[in-house]
Amino acid sequence: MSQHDTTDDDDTDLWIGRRDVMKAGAVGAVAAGLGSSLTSLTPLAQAEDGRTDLVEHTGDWRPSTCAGCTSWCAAQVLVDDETDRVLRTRGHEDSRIHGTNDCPRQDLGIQQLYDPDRITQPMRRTNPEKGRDVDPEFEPISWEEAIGEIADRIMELRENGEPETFMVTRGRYTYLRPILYSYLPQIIGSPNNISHSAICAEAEKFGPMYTEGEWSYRQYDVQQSRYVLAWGADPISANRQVSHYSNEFGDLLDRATVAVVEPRLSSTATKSDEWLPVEPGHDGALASAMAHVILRDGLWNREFVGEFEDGENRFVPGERVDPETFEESENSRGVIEWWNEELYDKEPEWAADEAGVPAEQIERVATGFAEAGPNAISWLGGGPCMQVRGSYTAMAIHALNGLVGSVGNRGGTLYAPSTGVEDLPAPDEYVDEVAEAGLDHEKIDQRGRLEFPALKDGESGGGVVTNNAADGILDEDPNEIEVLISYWNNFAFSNPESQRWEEALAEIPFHATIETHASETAWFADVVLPATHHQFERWGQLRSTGAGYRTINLHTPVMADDPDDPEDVLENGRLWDVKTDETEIPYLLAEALADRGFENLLAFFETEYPDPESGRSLREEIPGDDFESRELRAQAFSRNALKLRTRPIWDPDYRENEFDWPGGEEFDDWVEFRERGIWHTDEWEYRHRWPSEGGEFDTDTGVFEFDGETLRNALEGHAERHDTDVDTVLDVCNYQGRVDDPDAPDAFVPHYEEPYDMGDEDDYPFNFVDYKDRLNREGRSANTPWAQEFNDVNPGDEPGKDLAKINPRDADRLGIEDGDEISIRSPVGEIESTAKLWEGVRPGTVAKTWGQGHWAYGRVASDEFGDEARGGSNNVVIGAEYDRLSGSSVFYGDVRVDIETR
Amino acid sequence: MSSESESLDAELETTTLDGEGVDLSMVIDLQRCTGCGACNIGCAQENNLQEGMAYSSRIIETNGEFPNVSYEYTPTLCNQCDDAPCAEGCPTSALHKGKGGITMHDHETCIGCKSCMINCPYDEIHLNEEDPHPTWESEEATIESGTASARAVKDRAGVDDDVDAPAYYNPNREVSETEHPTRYKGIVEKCNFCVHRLERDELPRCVEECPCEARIFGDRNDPDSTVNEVLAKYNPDVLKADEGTEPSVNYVRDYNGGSYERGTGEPGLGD
Amino acid sequence: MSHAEGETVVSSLKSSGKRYYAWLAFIGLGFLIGGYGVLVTLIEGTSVLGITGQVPWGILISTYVFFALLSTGICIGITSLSSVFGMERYEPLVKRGVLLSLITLAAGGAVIMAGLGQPVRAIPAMVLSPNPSAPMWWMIVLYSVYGGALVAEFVLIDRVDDPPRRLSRTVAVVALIAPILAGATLGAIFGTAEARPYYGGLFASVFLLVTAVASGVALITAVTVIERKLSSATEAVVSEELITRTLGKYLGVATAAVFLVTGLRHAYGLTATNEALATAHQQMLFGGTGLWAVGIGMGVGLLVPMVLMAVPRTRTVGGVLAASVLVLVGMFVSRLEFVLGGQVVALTNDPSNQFPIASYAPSAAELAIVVMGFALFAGLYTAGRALFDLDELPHHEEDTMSHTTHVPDGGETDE
Repeated sequence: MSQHDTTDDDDTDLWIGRRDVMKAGAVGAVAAGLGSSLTSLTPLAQAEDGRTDLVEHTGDWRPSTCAGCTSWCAAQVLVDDETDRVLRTRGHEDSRIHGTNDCPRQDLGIQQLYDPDRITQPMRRTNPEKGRDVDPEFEPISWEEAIGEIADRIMELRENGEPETFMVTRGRYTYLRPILYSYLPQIIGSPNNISHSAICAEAEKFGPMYTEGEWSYRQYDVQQSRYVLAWGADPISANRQVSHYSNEFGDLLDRATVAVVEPRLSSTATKSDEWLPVEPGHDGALASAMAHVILRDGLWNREFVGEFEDGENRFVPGERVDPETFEESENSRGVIEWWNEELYDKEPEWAADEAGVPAEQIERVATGFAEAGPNAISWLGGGPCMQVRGSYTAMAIHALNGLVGSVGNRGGTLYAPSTGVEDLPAPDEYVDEVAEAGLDHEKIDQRGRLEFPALKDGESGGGVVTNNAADGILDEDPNEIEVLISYWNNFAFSNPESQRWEEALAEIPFHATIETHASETAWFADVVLPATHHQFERWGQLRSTGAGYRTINLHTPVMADDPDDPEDVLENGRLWDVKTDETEIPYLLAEALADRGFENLLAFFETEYPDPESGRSLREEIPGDDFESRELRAQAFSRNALKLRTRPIWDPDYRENEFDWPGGEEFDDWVEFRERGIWHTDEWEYRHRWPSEGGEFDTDTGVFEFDGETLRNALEGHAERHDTDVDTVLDVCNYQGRVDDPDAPDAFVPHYEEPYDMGDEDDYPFNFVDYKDRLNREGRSANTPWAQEFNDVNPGDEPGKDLAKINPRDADRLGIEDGDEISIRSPVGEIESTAKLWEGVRPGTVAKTWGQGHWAYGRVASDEFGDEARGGSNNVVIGAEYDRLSGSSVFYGDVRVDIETR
Repeated sequence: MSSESESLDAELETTTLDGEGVDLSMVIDLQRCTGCGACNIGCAQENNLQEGMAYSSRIIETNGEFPNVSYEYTPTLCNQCDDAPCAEGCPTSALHKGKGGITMHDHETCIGCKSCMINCPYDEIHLNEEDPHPTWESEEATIESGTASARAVKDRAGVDDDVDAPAYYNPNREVSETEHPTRYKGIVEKCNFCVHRLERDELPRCVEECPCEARIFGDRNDPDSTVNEVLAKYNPDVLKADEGTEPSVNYVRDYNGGSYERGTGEPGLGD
Repeated sequence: MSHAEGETVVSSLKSSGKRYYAWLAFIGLGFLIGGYGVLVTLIEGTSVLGITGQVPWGILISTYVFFALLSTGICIGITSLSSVFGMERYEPLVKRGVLLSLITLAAGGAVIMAGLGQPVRAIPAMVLSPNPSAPMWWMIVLYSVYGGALVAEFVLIDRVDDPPRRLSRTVAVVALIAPILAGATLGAIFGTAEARPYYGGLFASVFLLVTAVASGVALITAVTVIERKLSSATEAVVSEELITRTLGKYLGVATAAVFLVTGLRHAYGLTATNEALATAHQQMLFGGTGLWAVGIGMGVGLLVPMVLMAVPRTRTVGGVLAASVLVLVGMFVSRLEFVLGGQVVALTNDPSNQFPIASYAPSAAELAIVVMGFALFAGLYTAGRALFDLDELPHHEEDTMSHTTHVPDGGETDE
């Protein structure tokens, strides 16, 4: 029938020649004639006057950024020319990191954008009572009302002289974040801006910080590497640059050996040469033993580490070494101290007992890794270090890179080259006396207290202790929180022991949240403001790092034809009446505060955020005092902020005259840059920070430290601040390390500490192994049907189910069968799940993917919105513990649970 | 764009022969595959598939005992068999071998007898038991006047109410006269290598979507094609070779490129 | 020859009383239930059926196979013995047999049409877009030819006083060969599904034809025995001996043959090296389905009737009726066992599938459509016996039978 009579006979091009022949519609009519009156054939009718070419050919690929995880891949979004509908997204073709490759998370973005459960307009709570079982009884209100209500509350705080009771919490951000996250509270007068960072992976930054002075994530040179040793990192599945690593992995397997340390069979482990199924919490033992083997066998990198003066290897198991006999390289220091204080007796057999991994495998992996050095990667993921004593493990794992000389080296572990973005104009001049007084207060997360060193960048209290803010709020310590603005975070779901946040949020008298969905956090809010979707509806900027580059990636409102025109953006650039958290909402708030007599915020924006191209201020561009004009100005403000931030990249004058240009791609004007949406640094130069090559590491000593000298300074600084000694700090913070105690590990060198029990082993016989869903967009994808339909991409999981994976041997012992409904109970909480018997988990552990267990968020994410969770949320059973040196929340390690059938 | 896709694209543009001379084929390099599922999601979006009806799907198997465990992920799709039992047994020729060796399905002559589903050894033919995407008909909101509804989103996104598709409806299949944009109840459907894309010189969506470049697509009859190069280089395999269906989808290398045995000195299962 | 005197619809209604009305009401109820099933499937789609992507063929297919092979079996096993091979013993069964063949074919056709995704376009698509390589297409062609032959045969018996011998014979031969081929192609639909070794490949056709004869004999036997009880006319034409001796033994032998081929099929399957095949047989015989597949399909449906027919003491008219009804029940069940057996083992370990075993349970709509099939069968037969004299003997050999009328006291009708 149709397919037989439409073949074009005179055109040699098989594929294009049939365009004008019979259209589907005509054939459809025949089909209808055959009589399927009960069948919907309307789409056929539509096709009659329909498309002659793919949307890929007629539509536009517009630049943006995927913020589905912290890879922040540069994206291109296909917008249909006929309907302005977003049809698909892919990696940015110009990216030298990932090209058009993206990971499946990015593709889920479309289902978020067009999610029927999105909030379409502002809402106000009408039920004054707050609680999980209390329906907030939201009613729709206008933006003007909503903003006005928030402004009233802020004015009240300032008038009462208690601006410190104002609080902002942040989740997913862009680099326009200072406006809402820093400047707004600063001008109002509150120190309480709390980010989510410490529930992300701050402990992961601790390792490189206290060995080579970088509080930062790394990039890994997989294209040149010959050995990859991944520690709780799952680079083809989760965080970071999954797009790049996925693409390289097949070739990597040809070239390199890949070994994975992980208690469960992760995605990466399924494809690796070696799986070291470590007992949870004991990763550090393996790291110490591997370092031991590398030194014992003389496999370290002489150029980076140094050599015995006479060339004889004195690293003999059980024996300490005279530091005088060793000549350190100019690149590093302290390897002898590390050996003498930690490694000398950490033989593989010892580690085998501790960690449950055979000694031969430890030997083999250590040897292979070192022999491949310096083109070898010790890849630090969150698993081994987001643990109560994880900081030291992070150091030990990262120090392995130092031993083999892969630091900043070909095939090793790299950082990001400097970028050409400018800091946003800051508000110091607009901070009045009321605000100054407020800013003097301690932060609500209690960072910097004796028990919360949070030593970001070497500074006591330099980092955030996100999850402890709940306790600060509940205890009103250091003060009460009366007004909270939370944005793109869902602390009532994403923090360990999240039930504490439910209580804390219920306590706060006024809470406004800015989100795309009615989340567990929104459930406790007084005002819910609908947010733009990062990938499609707003201005912003993020960056990604890989393949030797860092890119600056723009978020643009892709559905607007002229994104620079505020009117077009407001009219066409959003699906609903939504606004951008970081810019538009603070701007509208500034206007409302000015209405109420407090003009500093508005003056700051009006003065400091003109359009850098035209020089026009916001009011000059869009005059008028009606709310619509304000909305337009807010959008212009958003655009201006981004232009100011990226100005060196697109403004040659500025770049050459007013900026310390690090090199990289150069653009001649804003539109050229905006239309491309991505900028590259120069390529990373191997070894450029090695002192032997004329560089410097950012440690206190300027070299790579195996002895923890920078950590010593930081710890002593913290102890001094509290008038005590380092041992007391470590004791209060639950660490085993001590200064000069022969019975304890040394407090400063990278070392192994036994896991800290989160629960009694007799009552809670299993270790709980949490890990992040491969289709998880930072906790926001559970309402997308594809994430549920395809969640078997997590090894061991099955479509649409939330499964607790148990080793069949354990299950047999407990009489649990595949598919049994079970409960998982820890000292802090209990969840319901379904048992899956799977050999990919270590006996004695229960492994469960993080991401399910929503009881709000939408109709797909929860069984009954607001009422019944779909599956169980891991955070309910993971207690609120901390790796206090980094401030990180703990997700892994010795999290103990019991399981039983329901 | 990756260099691989670019070269495959270029090949496709020069594939100008008539159906007889072209033998379209896919090779899936399992070592490159990371089991991420991007192919399946891309396919669902390209073809406006109802959830649960995956043209691009997978076979997953875990074998062995801890700690010697082997996990294998095999991406699957219609094999476009040279000797296609689905077409052979289709009483109305709705399923038939078309140009380029693709097993085509003509929705207009399909009577919904399901014999193809019985005949296909790969479970790659799917029945539309109802008109697709019924949940997108809903006018209900979770929070009244606060959140959207499916119908409202479709409306905002510019999708006609009577199109049985989600709000992110992809009109690409409208351009092909052999395709129905969304399908409808009572007929089967299956993968056809995205013929609507091939007709416009674009690779099948799963090939384009794969971030690992694990899928190689081209003409078996072109001696210089990448497909032939890869097939010659490795030892290709097809699913259920003993069924004699002569699949056009080949697999090369192993999903477990390594073999993650514990340190016993014994070879792992992958070897 | 036209209706026998006194056997018009009106008179039969008049003469039948309450029981008859109850019977009609019962059929009417069946049509109501069936109509619901058909309509809801048409409107909602096959989602109301119990079938799934992994088990696309369920009880509607097995019911179709049941009816189609009843038709086939009656024709091959009974009517052609008389009409083609001249075995006069079976003459009294011929006209009723032809009618039963026709209406079982119709019932089967109706059931399968109701289960199609696009029933309305089925016939035009078969004609306009044929696929001669598909057994299903041939089956439909052959059953159409067969249906035509049956109509012709019936018309010749019922309406034509002196049908040309050659014509009668030709029609009879067609009505023998077409169902053999049709039944064989029906078997081939299953047999050519190489992905489903449970169906037995080439053996499927043989198996289905053997079972067809058994079921056909059972049906005509059951109907005839009941008719003998209801109608003196039938009693007059069909002797007790025909029932207890000829048909009873025939049924016994046919049942034994079915038992043998079924046993062979399972024995072969259970011991097969093909793991999927062995698993399928294990599942069907010893899994949850075993209860009915073995218990009813083989025990109640084959073993018990075999014994009943083998023991002379139970091979009475009542015994034969019981045996034939049991065989019918058993065959209905084992058709389902056969159809499901090929699908019970999942083809692939696709995580969205059931694996390794796929399950199936008929839905209310499916059962309703099955009821429709039986109601149609009963309704058509009831109408048929009201409209036609089913005890009329066919013409054969030298036209000698042309003046046959009912012989009140039974016995031979040959003059």
